[in-house]
Amino acid sequence: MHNLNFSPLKKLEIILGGEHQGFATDILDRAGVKGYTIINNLSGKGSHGFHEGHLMFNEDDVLIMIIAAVPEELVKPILEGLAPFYNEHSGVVFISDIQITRLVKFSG
Amino acid sequence: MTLPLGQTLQIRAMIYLAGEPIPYFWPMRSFIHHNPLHGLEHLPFPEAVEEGRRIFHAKGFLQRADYQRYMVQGKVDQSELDAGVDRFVAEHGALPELDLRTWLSVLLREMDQTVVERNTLAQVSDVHNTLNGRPQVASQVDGEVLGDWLRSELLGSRPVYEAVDALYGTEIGSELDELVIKTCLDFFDEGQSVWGMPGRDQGFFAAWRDVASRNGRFYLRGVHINRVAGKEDSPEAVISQLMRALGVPQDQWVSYFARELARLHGWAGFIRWRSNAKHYYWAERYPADLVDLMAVRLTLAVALLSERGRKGIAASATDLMKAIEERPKETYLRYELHGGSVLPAMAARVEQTLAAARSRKIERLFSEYVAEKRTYEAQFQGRRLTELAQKAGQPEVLRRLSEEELGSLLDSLREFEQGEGMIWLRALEQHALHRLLNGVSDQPTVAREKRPFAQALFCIDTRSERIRRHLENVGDYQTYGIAGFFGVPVSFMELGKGSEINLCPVLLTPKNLVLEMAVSEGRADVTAVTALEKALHELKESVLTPFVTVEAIGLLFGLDLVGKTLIPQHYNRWRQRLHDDKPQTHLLLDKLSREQADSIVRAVQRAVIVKAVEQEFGLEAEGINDALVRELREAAMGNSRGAPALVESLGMDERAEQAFIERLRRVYRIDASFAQLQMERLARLGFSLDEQVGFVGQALRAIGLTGGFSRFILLVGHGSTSENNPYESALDCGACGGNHGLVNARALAQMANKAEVRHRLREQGIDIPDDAWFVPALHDTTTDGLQLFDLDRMPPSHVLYMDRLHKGLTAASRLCTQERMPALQMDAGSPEPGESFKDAQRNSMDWSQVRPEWGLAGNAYFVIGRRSLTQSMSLKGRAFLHSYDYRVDPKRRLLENILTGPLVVGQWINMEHYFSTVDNERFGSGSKVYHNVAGRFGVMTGNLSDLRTGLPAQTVLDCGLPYHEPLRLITVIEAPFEHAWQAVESVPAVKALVRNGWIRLVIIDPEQGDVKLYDEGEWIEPRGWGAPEPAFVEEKSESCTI
Repeated sequence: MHNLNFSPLKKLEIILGGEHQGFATDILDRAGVKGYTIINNLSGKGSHGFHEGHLMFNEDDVLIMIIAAVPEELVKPILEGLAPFYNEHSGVVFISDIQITRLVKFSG
Repeated sequence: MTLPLGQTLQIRAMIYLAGEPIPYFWPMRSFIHHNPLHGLEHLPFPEAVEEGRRIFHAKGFLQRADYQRYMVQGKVDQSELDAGVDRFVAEHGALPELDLRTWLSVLLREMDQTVVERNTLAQVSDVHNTLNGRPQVASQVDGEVLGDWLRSELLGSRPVYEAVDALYGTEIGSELDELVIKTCLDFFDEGQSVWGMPGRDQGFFAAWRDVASRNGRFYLRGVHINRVAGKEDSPEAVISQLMRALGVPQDQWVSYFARELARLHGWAGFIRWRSNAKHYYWAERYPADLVDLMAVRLTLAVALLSERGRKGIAASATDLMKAIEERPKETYLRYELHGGSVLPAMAARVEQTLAAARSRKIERLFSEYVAEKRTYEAQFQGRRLTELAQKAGQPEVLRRLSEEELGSLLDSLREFEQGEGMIWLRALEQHALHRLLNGVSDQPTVAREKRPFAQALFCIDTRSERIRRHLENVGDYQTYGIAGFFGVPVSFMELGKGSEINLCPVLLTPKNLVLEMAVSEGRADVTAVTALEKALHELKESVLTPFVTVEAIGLLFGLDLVGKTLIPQHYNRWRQRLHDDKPQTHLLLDKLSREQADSIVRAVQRAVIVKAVEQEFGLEAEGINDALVRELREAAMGNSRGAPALVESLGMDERAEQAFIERLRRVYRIDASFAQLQMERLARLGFSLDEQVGFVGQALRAIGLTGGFSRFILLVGHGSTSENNPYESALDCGACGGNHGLVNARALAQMANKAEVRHRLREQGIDIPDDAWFVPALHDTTTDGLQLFDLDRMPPSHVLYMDRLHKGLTAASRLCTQERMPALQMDAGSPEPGESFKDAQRNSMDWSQVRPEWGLAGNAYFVIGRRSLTQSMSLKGRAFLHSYDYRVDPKRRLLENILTGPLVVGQWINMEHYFSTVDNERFGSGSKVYHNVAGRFGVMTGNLSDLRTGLPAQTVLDCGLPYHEPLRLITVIEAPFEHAWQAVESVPAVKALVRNGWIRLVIIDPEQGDVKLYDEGEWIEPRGWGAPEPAFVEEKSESCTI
């Protein structure tokens, strides 16, 4: 395990209603993000109250979280793109510093 | 010019938000009833309606005159109406001497027009003067007030060209819309046109810009598209640039976009649907989204606004602001004239003065006009108030009011009239609820000694209620209600069709694929898979038979070249014959084993190779033997080098040989990785035994049928028949995605008749006796015919009873049409059952018939409970009935499933009918007589219009008056209170609908024997529960032709 090169990146954790998944992934795709992970069926509490996670008849009524690791220069544009959305809908975005080992998978 | 990434994404997000209130427009070939205000369901109903009114310029309630008519017909609960008035009066302090309660009651019941008008100029003092017979006091119009008012009317989120049209009488808005519609028709064409629009694969905006920048007529007019939108610009860049050029402040952009999109909300809804549809072939080839649409609209707007020759006309928000600032009085007069609210008596003078453009004259005219209008408004208002006061018996009280009191009265009346729609609605609903509660029976089900002759499961669709009642009356039949897809979501590939359709509510995505296979003559006992294998092995003998199966598998494999390219003529002819003369079929429901799948893949490959050799070398079928085919296959799959047999029979050289093998790989897809793909796709076929047991068990438990099975259990799907009807899919089964429900019925019946499935169910406690047989059937809602299917699989022992069954079904059909047809006829006589039946048949075949059946019009109730609850009353085809027995559902899972699926579909249907009735022009699609089909997916009115959404006039109106009674779905759950309420609370979507007042929830507790209604956040006992029904007069009306 000689050549493990650590590169710093930013991690975005985007939490929003499942029915908006297409919108959020479209923003990420157009920003040039190479890939992302989606976690389903979340519950949580926010200014709108507690949201029950529930396995629904369809996938639209749940909260989801999209995790994406992006180079620093993409953080601001992505957040700019998401800002109008969060003006009207509940959810949140967390930005943190992470490191990854296979840089080629994350940035073009 | 390239826009920075952040701004590009921001614009996309803004347009996403702006598009949210626009409902999806599903292609009409599978019409989906949906709530046009679905995007606003997070708001309470009254607020959502108000917001909808604002966005779509549409009414959310009927006119007062319509409600008054209902009142005459006895459909309005008087005490609820009074209660509404009382509530209002309690919240608004009354004026001394003035009996507000009486005034408001009189206003509702006797005034045919609105009392308080939207007065722009007249003040309370002016009205006061008028009432007291005093002359107007001359006053100056405050310049600042005028400026503010003009700004609020013309700027902000209002599209610039709309304001310009309202000021200068130009018609930029309608021209823009027409151009956009034409582009949409060209771009979204799905293969109808001979000449397709060029460049569509670049996307909607790019393709349009290419064509538009070459438009000769534009050039001659001085409309320069390429000056406005450069060749390299992305749609987002264009939008950003043009919004700035128009001078619209950025905080208004989202609202501006929303209003733009709402102008053609049909097309916008279609684009929204299309850009989100998964695996939609045309969307993948020719992409288009709302951002493209917005870019096109803005480019056209700016280009048209700056058209050469439009001198002196504002071309941006900045220009408008300047006009308001510098020439407010002139601007005001323009707005009056072209905005449509000019005083008729002065219209000509205003027009002439503006045309002459002399500022002093304009000033003088302005003062005169304003004074005239004030007087006019004050007098008009005074007259209305006086009329109301007289009817309320207090004319002198009105005259004695002080100016302040008058102002307060006007405010109260205005507020009342704005909210009166809700008061009427509640009164309508109360009456309907009362009707229902008076008719239901809380008698418990009596245990039967012997099982019924037959049991029948019908869809919850309101049209089933009639036939169920009649069937129960003609013999010993027991009926149940279940969602029309019987709980089995399938993706179906019909015989001869190369594509799949989803037979389930649109909320679901089916995971299993079901194929339809032709049954070879006389081999009814053979399972479908063996039939498939056999047919494939017989490929060499018959040219056409294989394509029955290969084509069915064809698109599964992505082999769209099969059939269409290899032997197009034969194929098309066969397809045509198939349509007229469909052979007996079976459904392939069981999962394939790996060997079977492998064998199918090989058989298909062999078939393709045979055809390829025939095609390319002209060899006769007899000259192609097994060995040759096998060799070629092995070579193409990479398992061997060459094909000596072929080389020998044709005398080819090595290069030709290798070239052909390469062709087999590339063009005919005979290769290993494609074969793997085909195997994976075949894995989607059918249901595992576990799945089958699950579906059958779930369906039976959901309706509470877990024992006492009859000899016959009919699974009745429904569909409708009509000619020349773009809306025909709206009359089909909503639970099956706008298709008929027969396939799902056949699937569930086949599963339930399987011995292994019954064996497992027995272990779970559902004991289906050996002599019980499930029969799929179809209820044609236009003719009320009931047809049975798959009779070739019925065990011989049951054939004896078929005669009795057929007689019962026929009798039920005839009686049903006898009840139903008078509402569709010109002269409402009392026809014989046989006559009605024939009339109904005629309706289904008459291509000029605009109303083959009333469909779901009149829907009002959704009842979840046992049949015993409703069996004793006639619900006149107005109720969705879902069978449910809480005693077999301790964990409430089944109730939750009913709520989350069928109830939501019922609410969509109910709201679609509601809004299409209250405003058929904006929410509905107008008269069918003027409809033209657009593409293959929608209708327009006339030559060129927005895609019409919602239901046509003929579906919900009769002679221009409402036929469907617009009220919110009255949902009844028969179960102990806690049980029912907990289930509702566990389904967030339904909980929100209840809390926000989109449906009215009633819980009937059979154990306590009481009833509770959810009203404005509380549980109350519905008024009139147990009280005698008030007398009323039923109005007999004759049906019209439109």
